[in-house]
Amino acid sequence: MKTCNSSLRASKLLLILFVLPALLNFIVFRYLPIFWALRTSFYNYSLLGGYRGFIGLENYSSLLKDTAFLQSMRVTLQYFIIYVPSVVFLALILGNFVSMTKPGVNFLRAIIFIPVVTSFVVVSIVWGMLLNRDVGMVNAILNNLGFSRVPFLMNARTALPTVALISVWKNVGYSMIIIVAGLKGVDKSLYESAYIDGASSFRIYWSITLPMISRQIMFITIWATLQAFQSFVPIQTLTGGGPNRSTNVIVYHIYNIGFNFGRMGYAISMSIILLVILLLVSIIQMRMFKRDY
Amino acid sequence: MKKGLILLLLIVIAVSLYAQGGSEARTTTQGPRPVTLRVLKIDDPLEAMAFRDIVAEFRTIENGKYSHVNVEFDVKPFAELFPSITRAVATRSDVDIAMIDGPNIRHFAFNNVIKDLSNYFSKEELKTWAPQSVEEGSYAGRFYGPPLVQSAQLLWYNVDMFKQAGIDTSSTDGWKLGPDGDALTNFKKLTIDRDGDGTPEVFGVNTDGPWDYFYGIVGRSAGEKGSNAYKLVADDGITFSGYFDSPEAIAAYQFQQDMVYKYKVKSAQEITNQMFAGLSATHFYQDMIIGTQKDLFPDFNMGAMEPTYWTTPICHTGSWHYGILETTRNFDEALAFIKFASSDAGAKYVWKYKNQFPANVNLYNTIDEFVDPNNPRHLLVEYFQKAGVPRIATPAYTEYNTLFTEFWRSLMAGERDVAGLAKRYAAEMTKSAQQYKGWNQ
Repeated sequence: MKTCNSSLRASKLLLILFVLPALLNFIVFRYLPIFWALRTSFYNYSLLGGYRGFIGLENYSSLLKDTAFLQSMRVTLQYFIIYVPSVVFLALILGNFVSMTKPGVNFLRAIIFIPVVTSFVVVSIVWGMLLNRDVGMVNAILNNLGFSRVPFLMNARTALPTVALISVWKNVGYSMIIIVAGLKGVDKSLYESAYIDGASSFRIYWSITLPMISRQIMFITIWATLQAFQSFVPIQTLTGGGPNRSTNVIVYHIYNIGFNFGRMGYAISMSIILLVILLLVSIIQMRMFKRDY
Repeated sequence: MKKGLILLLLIVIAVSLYAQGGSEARTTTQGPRPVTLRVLKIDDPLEAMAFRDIVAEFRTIENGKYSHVNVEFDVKPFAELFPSITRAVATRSDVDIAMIDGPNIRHFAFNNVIKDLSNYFSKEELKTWAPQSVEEGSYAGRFYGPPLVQSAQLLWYNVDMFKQAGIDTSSTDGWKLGPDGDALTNFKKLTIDRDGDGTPEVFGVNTDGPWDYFYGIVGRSAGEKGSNAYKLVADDGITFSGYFDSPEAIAAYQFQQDMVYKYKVKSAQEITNQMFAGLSATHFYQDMIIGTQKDLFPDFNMGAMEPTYWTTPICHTGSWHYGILETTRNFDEALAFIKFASSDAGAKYVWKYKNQFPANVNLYNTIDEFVDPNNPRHLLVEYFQKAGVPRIATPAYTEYNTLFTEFWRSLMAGERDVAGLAKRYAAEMTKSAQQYKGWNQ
């Protein structure tokens, strides 16, 4: 009995020791900074000036009146509305397509995935050149086809959708791979049974495939949501938040306020609000996809 | 078995924690303690070569007095340097010297990030550099940082395109901007729309990045010297309303937008190497363009003239300065290093590799390329002395430049209410600068 208990204790200790480094990593590099940030948001703090006095909830109350912050939240929401459905929808279509056993699909899968592993800065610069109003290839083609040139990144109406679609192009490969993995896990006998029962292709897809890959759909939806709310690189590289702040998404706005305007405490309060929003959105999305696991 | 595994794991954790300890330089038994100066600077391969030689010579000066000093460089891309310096200060990183963009000297001095060096540079030593450089390196009358290099701009042009357009190149005087000015007349001659689709293949003038360095002079040039437009900001350094959005400045901003959308002699977006790629006939830029032309486009026939102006000829000056951080633990060595690096002996290496306009008066008064009247660098020096002004004196420069960039992008995107845009941004600039109230008192 004694030997059994000591063996159990040793197992538990071993378990803890193996988990400890990763746990320490999370605590030190993720949770502690979040708590530090939360504390700092109650102060008038700048990176160079340090802590300049406790101000309580003043940063948070200022946010409600800050038109620039509210506008950046609106822009981020617009970006989310364009980006997330596009990624999910395209991932489903592409995932289904490259899951078929046809010649060339492996190559196609690789082509679609290449942007995922390419630097976003490089992708943004190249797309910026392609979409240049005066000398870009896209406008040259449009012009040759008889259309007017489109100032993709220079027009307040088109800049945000353009940036969002560039991000979709860059990231959809990752979501596609998740869907492919999910599709491979679907039991083939379910399809056979459905065919025998005379179900149509649409019916099979809607009633069998989609429910069976709902976990993967949930994952890519949440992942795309997080990406949408944290978009920064294409904005900084392509538009700088303009024109007329039409692409001034929240993370870019936070960066500007914290580093360029020296109001880090205020920027942190925006980050905390963003964290709460993302937590709520993730919880809602998980509940929507909830199944008996 | 399990006990053995536990023991092994504990040993691994302990060893890895021990290995994380910082590696301080070992003390030597003879001579001064080795010192490592850490310098935070912009990523520039040409500067890297220059500093290799500077450090090598620095260690030999005064009979090897500083032979115990090593210099390590932490390089960052331009856009990351300002946040990196800010982070280094906030985290009290082990950084001794930072390369600071001239207009940001005041910002860092205001926040007590860099040391006041007024007591360490004599009046004679300050004469080593151009007056604009000393002004840019100063804050509230105190000297904070000697310069690395200087800058000024000219209007560089494609000689062949000018000949084809029948433009006289015998004079280097700048063209006057405005609807009735010869700048517009000539830019129209130089603009080519071969297929007649309304979008030129070659623009008369290039488009630069939307920054104050290039386009802050648009509004300033619109006013007489000493006017609100010319100053761009009040003497308090924090009031932009009535200056940035003065009536003359607004007219100049409107004209810049008209050059894109009404007269179509300028592209809306910047294009890399626009002139060298044959996509514009002229390029407003610093003398570094000479290096680019020689290295990448040796067959390009390039000329230079004074830049265009509205009412008052003007160009922005200023470049990098050395700043010693307040957190340094090696002040004496850091001071000695920046004194040497910014002296004629050190600056000559920067000129040798980077070929950028030196801030050292002796250098640009003696180097052949600046002395030869037929060389465009001679014109650059003349224009620098005649019309070169530092960027606006404000500790809120980063805030101002961030907002200016937004303003310029919106202007170039075709914002219809230019006056409203200018007033809105002048108000935002003023608001963002209020935290520095009283800085120069």
